[in-house]
Amino acid sequence: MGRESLGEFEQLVLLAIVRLGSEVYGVPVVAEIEARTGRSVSRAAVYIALRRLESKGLVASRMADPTPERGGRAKRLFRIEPAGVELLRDNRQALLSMWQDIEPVLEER
Amino acid sequence: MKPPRVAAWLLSRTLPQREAEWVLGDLEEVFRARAVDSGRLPARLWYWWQTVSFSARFLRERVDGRRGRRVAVSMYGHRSVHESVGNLLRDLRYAARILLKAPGFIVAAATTLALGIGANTAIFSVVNSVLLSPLPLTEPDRLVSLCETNPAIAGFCIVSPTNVEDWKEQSRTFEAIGIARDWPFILKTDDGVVGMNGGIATPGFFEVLQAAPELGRLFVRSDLEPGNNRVIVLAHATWQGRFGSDSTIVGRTLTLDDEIYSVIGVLAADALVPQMEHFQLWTPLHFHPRDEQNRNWRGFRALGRLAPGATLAEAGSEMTTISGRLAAQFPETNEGWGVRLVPLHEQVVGHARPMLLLFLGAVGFVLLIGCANVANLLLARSTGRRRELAVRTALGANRARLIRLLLGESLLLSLLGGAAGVLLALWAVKAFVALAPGGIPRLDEVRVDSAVMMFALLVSLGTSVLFGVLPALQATALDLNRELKEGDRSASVRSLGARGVLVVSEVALALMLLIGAGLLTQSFSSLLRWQPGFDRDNLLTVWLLASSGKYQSAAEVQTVFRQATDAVESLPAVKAAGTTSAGPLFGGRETDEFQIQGRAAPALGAGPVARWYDVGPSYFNTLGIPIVRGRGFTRNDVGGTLPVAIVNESAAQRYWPGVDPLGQQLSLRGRTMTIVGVVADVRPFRPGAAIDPEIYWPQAQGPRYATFLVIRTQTEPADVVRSVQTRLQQLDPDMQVSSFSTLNQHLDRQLVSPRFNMVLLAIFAGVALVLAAVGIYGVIEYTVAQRTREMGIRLALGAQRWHIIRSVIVGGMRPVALGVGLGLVSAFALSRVLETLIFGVSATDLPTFLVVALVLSAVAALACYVPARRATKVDAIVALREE
Repeated sequence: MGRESLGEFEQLVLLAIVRLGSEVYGVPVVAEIEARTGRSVSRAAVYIALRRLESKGLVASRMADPTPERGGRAKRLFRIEPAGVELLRDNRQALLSMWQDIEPVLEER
Repeated sequence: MKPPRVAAWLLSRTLPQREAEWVLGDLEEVFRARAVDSGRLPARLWYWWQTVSFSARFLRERVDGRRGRRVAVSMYGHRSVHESVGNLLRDLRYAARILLKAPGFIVAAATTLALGIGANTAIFSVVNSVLLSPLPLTEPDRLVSLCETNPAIAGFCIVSPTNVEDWKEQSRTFEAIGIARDWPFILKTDDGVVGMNGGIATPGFFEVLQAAPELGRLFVRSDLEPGNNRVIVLAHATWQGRFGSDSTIVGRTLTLDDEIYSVIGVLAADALVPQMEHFQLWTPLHFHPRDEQNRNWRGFRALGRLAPGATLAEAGSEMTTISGRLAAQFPETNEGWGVRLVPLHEQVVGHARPMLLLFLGAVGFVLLIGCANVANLLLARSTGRRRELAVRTALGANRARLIRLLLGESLLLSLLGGAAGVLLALWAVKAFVALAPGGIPRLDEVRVDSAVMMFALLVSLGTSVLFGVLPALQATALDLNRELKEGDRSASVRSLGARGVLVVSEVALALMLLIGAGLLTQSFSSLLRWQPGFDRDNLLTVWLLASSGKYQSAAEVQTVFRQATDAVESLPAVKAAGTTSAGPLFGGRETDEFQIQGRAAPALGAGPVARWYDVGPSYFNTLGIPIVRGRGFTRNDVGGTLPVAIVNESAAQRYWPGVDPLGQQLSLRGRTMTIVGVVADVRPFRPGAAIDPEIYWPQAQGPRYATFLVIRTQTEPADVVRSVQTRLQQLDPDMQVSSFSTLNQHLDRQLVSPRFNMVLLAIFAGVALVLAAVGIYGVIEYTVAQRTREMGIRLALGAQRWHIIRSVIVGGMRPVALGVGLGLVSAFALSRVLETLIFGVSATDLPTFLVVALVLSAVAALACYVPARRATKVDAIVALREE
């Protein structure tokens, strides 16, 4: 312990940011999660998660690039921070070790 | 294509400022894409859904200190505020969850509170509109009623037109002063004659009120000049009702009292003429105030508008100076007369104040009793929750936190009760306005407005503290060790404790209300029993007004009135008929100073005073007022013969003590009369009221154009009305015959207001009694339930059932007795409040106090007995096993 814990949903959001490249804003993040998981997610929940991730120091953001199709409003671009990368790595490690040897059991059912 | 504007605005409000920009931007981008893909409407719906979803989530995030503490910091900056808001909301949410588990409790508590808060809100909205809000006039604070005062006729507010003219000229503190009075007119139309409630006024009167015309103009100075003064200003309602809102009415002529008047204007719909709202039309004073040199004719009401910056005190001292100067200048008419200034608002609503404040106090008591009951319920509940609270404490909750939790429940309850109460109040206000007697002014202005809502909210909040704090304090004063070990087995086998305090206050409050209701009831029944000294059944009164243009003199009119009396008397259903200018409970009262011939003239204003009437020869006989000494009036007492008078016994005793009044002479209103008889007193309607000295003189010796005709009937008076009307119509079709009413109907009208007061207070007192009984019942039932085990043991050991019941009742009646004592003392201390509202019974009437105390004690004893009896019915074995 002693480190930030990561909810499943937050993890999805963080992974979406990683998948989408260096700097991404809200719209593609939601689209990515929905496309990959096949579930529709609450946009508001994604945005809350983004704010929460930022407050935990796992992502950083900056404002940029107002465009006319946004009513002239700026985007907030998010990028993953080293702490975020590390946490994802740890999580993956933990999950993988937990999954080890039981995948065949589940397959059989 | 733009997203829905309202939704976007809402979002921009609910999102944290830092987030609004990019979130709105993202949403708009997606909205456009969706609009292209799937159409405009689905996109709009989607956007609205996002609005709801984002608002809800961000709001929750904003206040949710538990999960989002750091988020709250990063998004909003201030930690403590949002944290505590979050805590508060969480406590409330938790309180709501707990409450919802006990719907019966919610219903009981919220209903009690709704009754209390609703009654308070309703009465407050009346008080607010009638007493507190300013009159709907321009700068109403500057409006003042001016009254000439004389110790001999205290209580009246009247002025003489000539004096007012001088005030106007000499005063600096008034911007305008005007006078007005009622003046009945007969309007001749194509369909016949109709009586109109008219008024006469000076131009200054409307100037003071800053009334505006709907059409034409109002009076100006030149309208007072003879030759110019046959002009009419119509009240708005008259113009609408009688003249169908005819826009060409200005310039038309109307026949009033057989004179031609022309309409010059119509008052605007919102032109309020206080206390003269029902006047149908206005004409200028028929005489120029300067031409009327009789300063003694004080029949007018005066209104003034203070000059900007002038205070009431300044105006008062200036008017005192002026009236002193006038008294020195015209001692005959003005000696002994002062001036009093009354703010118009006070003049209009002042008399309703004691009653309305009484109602407000009464509903306040009802609410307090309700609070005590709810506190009781909460106490009982919290005892059941001691273990839960103890566990919470053991897990680290401090006492403040527990109290906040419990107060949260109180707050929710009171807000629920308050909301229901406001709904109740909306209905109750309508009922109050519909049923209230005419005596309460400004009822048409009563509404439930934002001030009332604020009141309801404050009362609800205050209420939650009142009933919540005591239980919360008691419930959280825990002995952890014992609570956790023993649970609720022996936790509350204690004396009544806090519950006793609640019972004491409930009983005291209910007792005060019951005593108030009891006194009002007694007062009412004493009014009902009014015995004027003659038979008041089968008496009919009717108002006759002769058309002044038709007869040459008042003496001719007198002949017609005599013929009318004879004609009515000849009807088979009529026993007797007589005329009079006024009588008990009907007609105006005229009171004047008079002089007794042959005695040294007292200082002006210090002489004898009497109420006077002019009556026809058969008046005393018709009513049945016995002639005690001398003779009554006869048909021979007419103009030209010896002017005579009759006095009542009170006048004889007061002004001619030890002297035979017969043959004595007196001067009243410039007439010198010889007393020829003494009649019995008519006992006043209000028991205990002083009997005024009265002087009667024959109508034929001082004739007027109008009179009451009093008819003693053989049968039900209502059956006679038609034939009387026909008979009078035959005699003079131009005579206005109106206001048929029996004496008992006059009495009923006097009773409307006392009856209303009585019924309303009785309702409040009844509710208070029921609430108090329920409260006592609850407390006793609770304590008995706690003692079931003990009772079981006692019963098993052979105790008499009755002994146990008695011990419960004695225990329960101890706080009741204390409450009764406290209530009696408080009622005694508060008796002054009622003094102006009750008649024929003292406000500290001992029998009332005792009877009410007994009734309340009996109800309380019953409320103790029922649960006690039920508890002892429990099988001893079962009671023991339960534990």
